[in-house]
Amino acid sequence: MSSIIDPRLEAIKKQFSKVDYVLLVGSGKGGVGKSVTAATIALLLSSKGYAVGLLDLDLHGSVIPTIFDIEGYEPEESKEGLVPPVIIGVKVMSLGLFAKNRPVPIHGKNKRDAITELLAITKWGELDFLIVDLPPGTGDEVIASSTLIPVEREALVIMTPSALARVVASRTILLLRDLRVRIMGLVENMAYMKVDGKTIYPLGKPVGEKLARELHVQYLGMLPFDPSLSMAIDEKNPEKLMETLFARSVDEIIVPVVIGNREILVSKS
Amino acid sequence: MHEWSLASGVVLTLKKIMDEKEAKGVREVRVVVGELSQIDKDILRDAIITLSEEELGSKVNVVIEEEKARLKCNTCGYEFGFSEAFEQLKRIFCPDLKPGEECENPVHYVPELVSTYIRCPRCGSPDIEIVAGRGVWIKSVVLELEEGGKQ
Repeated sequence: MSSIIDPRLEAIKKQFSKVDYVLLVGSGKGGVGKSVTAATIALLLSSKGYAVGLLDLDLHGSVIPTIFDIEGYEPEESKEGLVPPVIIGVKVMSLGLFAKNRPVPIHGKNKRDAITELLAITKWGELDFLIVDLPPGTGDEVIASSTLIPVEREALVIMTPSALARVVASRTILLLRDLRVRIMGLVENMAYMKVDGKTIYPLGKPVGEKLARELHVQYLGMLPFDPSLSMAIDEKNPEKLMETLFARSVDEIIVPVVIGNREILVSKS
Repeated sequence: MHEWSLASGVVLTLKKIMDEKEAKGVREVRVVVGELSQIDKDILRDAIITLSEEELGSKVNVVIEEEKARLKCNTCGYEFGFSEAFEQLKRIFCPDLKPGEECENPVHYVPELVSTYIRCPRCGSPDIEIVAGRGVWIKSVVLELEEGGKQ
């Protein structure tokens, strides 16, 4: 027989053969705190004793290596593939580890090829959870990750309380559904602050619950606008990130759902 | 070492094809290696042979072809080959490279990163497209079929 066959697709199946559950973390708009949320979920799950990986597929706007302070790291080579660096128990892989803070000006089919390659050569080993940080929007990365990752995957969609974020979050949910990705829930970030015992809404009235109702997805709740978060990120200190009010909120409203959904999937399989 | 994970993908694909076609075995596989991926062809061949023995139960005859890399600048239309691209990679990753030595660079792992490190030699644009010579793929497979097996 003769036709061009891509061996990476079988390689991807092998690399994901011991990965139980994949959570795609997406948003419509940029700047809604998606990467920080993805990193925080991964760190919290790891702190509870789970085996966790974090895959950064935000090819153009990669910040995961900065959050984890691993910009200078090189993935280790092994016969089974590249071994991701492990930071506070989280295995982290990102194209940013190869691009070293240079721009990544790839587009179209080249982008899908880059993602396919990264999925095929990364050795995850046994993972309870793989958290995937998607870029904003509904482009190649969202489509490629949804179609190439060969295990059960769900999506968490993040938005901020704004009419613009609402419109694009809605598009992301519709696309993910068409890609046969179950929507785990919608969360509204930077939604509130506590000032002198009073709750204020710095970006305006929350709109996520209404959107969730309209699109028949679970509304997980609101995450706070937390100034201590940017300090932890500026210090490139993931351990400090875990001590923030933001992380405590993620631990309350997102992490239990992620753990519960994995347990259901694992018990079914 | 990266060659081993690619070889594993090739052998697992052969296994899948064997199962689909109800074949007894694989006599030969022809694998094309894109020049841009800077794969060590001898390591890849040996890895496919070793893994095929483990996974498929017999050694496979492995033929490796190389496809020359062709890159195209989407800004000025200039087309260029790997040697021009490699000159730029060498300047960044291995300026003191001696003959016979390898130049380790990230394009080996993800060929698309060529546009992260290479600029058009003519106009300096980063908008570079890979026309040919990326990655590894299977061009043809010769199967040993059971009597009555699928063609």
